[in-house]
Amino acid sequence: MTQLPSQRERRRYILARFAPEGIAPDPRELYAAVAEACTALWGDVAASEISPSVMAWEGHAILRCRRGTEDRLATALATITRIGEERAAVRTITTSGTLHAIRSRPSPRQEVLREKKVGIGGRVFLAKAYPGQKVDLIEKGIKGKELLFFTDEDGEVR
Amino acid sequence: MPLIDGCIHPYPTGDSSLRRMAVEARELGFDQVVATGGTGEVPGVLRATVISASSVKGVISALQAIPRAEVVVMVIAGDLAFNRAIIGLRGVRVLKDAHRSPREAFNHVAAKEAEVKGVAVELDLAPLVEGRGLQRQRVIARYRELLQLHRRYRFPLTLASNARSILGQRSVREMALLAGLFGMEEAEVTGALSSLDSILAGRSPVQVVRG
Repeated sequence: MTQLPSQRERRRYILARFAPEGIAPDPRELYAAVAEACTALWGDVAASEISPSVMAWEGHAILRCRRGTEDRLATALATITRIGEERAAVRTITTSGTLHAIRSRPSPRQEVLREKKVGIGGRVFLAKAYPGQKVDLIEKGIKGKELLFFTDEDGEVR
Repeated sequence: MPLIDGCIHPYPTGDSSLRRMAVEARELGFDQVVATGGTGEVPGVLRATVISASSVKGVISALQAIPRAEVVVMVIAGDLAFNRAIIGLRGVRVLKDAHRSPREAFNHVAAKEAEVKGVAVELDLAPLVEGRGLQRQRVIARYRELLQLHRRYRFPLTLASNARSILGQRSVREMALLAGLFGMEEAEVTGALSSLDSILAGRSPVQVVRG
């Protein structure tokens, strides 16, 4: 692997967004989820080669790894099903060799268009509408949070 | 060739409506999805029924009860005799959950028959996403064996997220990366994601050929 004159290894940066749209997980919990996914999938040796780290935090994630290991990191990201206690998925958007190129892209985060309360089967959910007719339903109960994912056109949400 | 997610399970089985999963699938790079539930007419969705029966008789009676509108009939795999009998049945398109059946349940004979009858074997990517440790290792090893058989006998494969939520759906690229875990190459991934289209086209009574 070629090295820079400063002897620093070349790196790759992965821009990723989260599903569901509204979540903003703690960066430390994200790092723990990424590290666990890498180690579980590729083993300790390969995980140390990948050397993943969470670089920036602006409603989405920029993840850093060693050059040549970005596909392995992206594969590991695809196996993340939880960040901390919350169910989540990490969707890779693009890979770049510089942070500047990643930061020049528009933020993938989508803003909430409107919120309202919706009743389904005797339960009350908070419905958050996002662009693309997406509606996330959130029920906060004693046992935790339940999520349902619908669209504007679904009868349950109207 | 349209790229198809081989199987999803929308609300009420899962937590996401069929429309929402179809929207998500489009954003993730798919042209169509195969759905086992959900309501309403949604563009880009192929309807499917999963038959889970312990005997061939049970599968036959379940096949007879399926309405014509159901396009893709999937049967949960069993032992070798069961799988061979299922592959020979008219209307069966996909053999599902092959990773749960024993190693000898799908051998070279079943592979040849699947190729002749145009029955696909589904590679479920959910155990690769959700599984950890030995469980995932076994699935990868099983898929590697199935891939070897596929390379030799050319029976169709399908790749499916088997997502019950939008959080379980994966993009085309992510599916290719996950399929790379058991050695599937890019062309094979594209073939597996579009195989259902050719299976369904090949089985229709009238085929339109454009010159």
